[in-house]
Amino acid sequence: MTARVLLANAVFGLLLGFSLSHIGFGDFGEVHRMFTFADLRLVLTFGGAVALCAAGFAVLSRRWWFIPRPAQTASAVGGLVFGLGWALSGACPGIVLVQLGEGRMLAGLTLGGIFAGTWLFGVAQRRFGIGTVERC
Amino acid sequence: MNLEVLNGRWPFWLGALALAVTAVGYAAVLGRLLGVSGMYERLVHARAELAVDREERAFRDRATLGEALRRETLAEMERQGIQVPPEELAAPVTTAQAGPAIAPRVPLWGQLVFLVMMFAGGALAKALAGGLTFQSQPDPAHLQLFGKAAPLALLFGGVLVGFGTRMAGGCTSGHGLSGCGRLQPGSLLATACFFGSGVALSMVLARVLA
Amino acid sequence: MRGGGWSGHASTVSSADGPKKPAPGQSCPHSATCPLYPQFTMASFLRYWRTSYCDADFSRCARFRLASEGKPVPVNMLPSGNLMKLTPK
Repeated sequence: MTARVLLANAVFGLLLGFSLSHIGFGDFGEVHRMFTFADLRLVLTFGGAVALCAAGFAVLSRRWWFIPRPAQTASAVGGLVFGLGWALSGACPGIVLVQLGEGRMLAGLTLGGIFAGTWLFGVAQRRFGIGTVERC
Repeated sequence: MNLEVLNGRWPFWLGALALAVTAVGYAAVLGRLLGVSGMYERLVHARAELAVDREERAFRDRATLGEALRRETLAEMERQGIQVPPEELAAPVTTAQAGPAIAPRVPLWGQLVFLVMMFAGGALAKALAGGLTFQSQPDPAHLQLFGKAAPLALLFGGVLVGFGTRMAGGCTSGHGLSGCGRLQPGSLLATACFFGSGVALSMVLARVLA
Repeated sequence: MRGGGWSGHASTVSSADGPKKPAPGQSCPHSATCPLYPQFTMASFLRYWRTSYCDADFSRCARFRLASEGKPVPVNMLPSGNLMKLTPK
């Protein structure tokens, strides 16, 4: 692996963790307030990020080919399941690491759960053929 | 304007900017989409992933791939007894960019570095905002909702997150930022669904448990 | 569990319970995302892969079968299951 790839992953990983923490995504209370519409700051942050990304990716897509993501049943069902888990734990795969970094030790349980769920899905995929089909 | 950058409660525009710079910057430098749930999947299946990394190491550009493809195809057709007209033999396999470039996968070690640095980023942010502490209790809001069942909610919630993100093929970064940002139908659908169920369950929990 | 080592990787794609044979006229649904597919539409004789796999019985394609099982597909894997090498064998 080149130094460039290593450095890029290190820098952007640090930036993402730092940003998510300072936005407040690591705090269950903030996430819960987002989901119950008690406080719109987090959802506005996310919406604003998507809008800015749209501009950025419009430019980047001329230079790089990015994988298309067609709509599939698994996109919806998987999304629904993920959302339930997010509401229960306050975490997504990225946020759980931020929670741990912030010293919330119980997030270790969430992290273990995420690994277990990821592995379980692999088993289910091979057994039942579920999941989005895209990468070839 | 009193802008507190290190207070752990960024105004929405600053957070939006930071997240967008991360997602777009990552893709700009590496030519691959940022998606954290995919990194977990790759770690869980590390052995297969490392094998693929090894195979792909040599084929970092279209020219190399095109040349090998040309050679292997001719060999295969010969094995099948198929004749190739001489004028087609001479035609070059295009190395000219027929559209945007395909970047090679990020090696598994790179993804591990990313995840570790996310942890470090959280720690750094906390250190600058108020100092590092170790919290062995759940967040107050979480405790208020779940009480003694809080650890169970974390564990079970985590399982649902792991399972659901891989079923959908992405999470808040992969679908939310990198996918919705490109207006991809699958990502828009997944994002709407995970926000939808997150909202629904949270409202139910708030009503029933609090 | 995923098979150990790489040399037998293609052979771990089981034919017993692999993907079903597609209906006639059906093309491989992965063509939009397969990194080799655009190459197959370039120089003329590379059509061979399309006529043999993508536009024909794509359930035979090793790339399709691996992807259907959620396994990572190396960019140098051909539909036949052979892995392209840098230098001629």
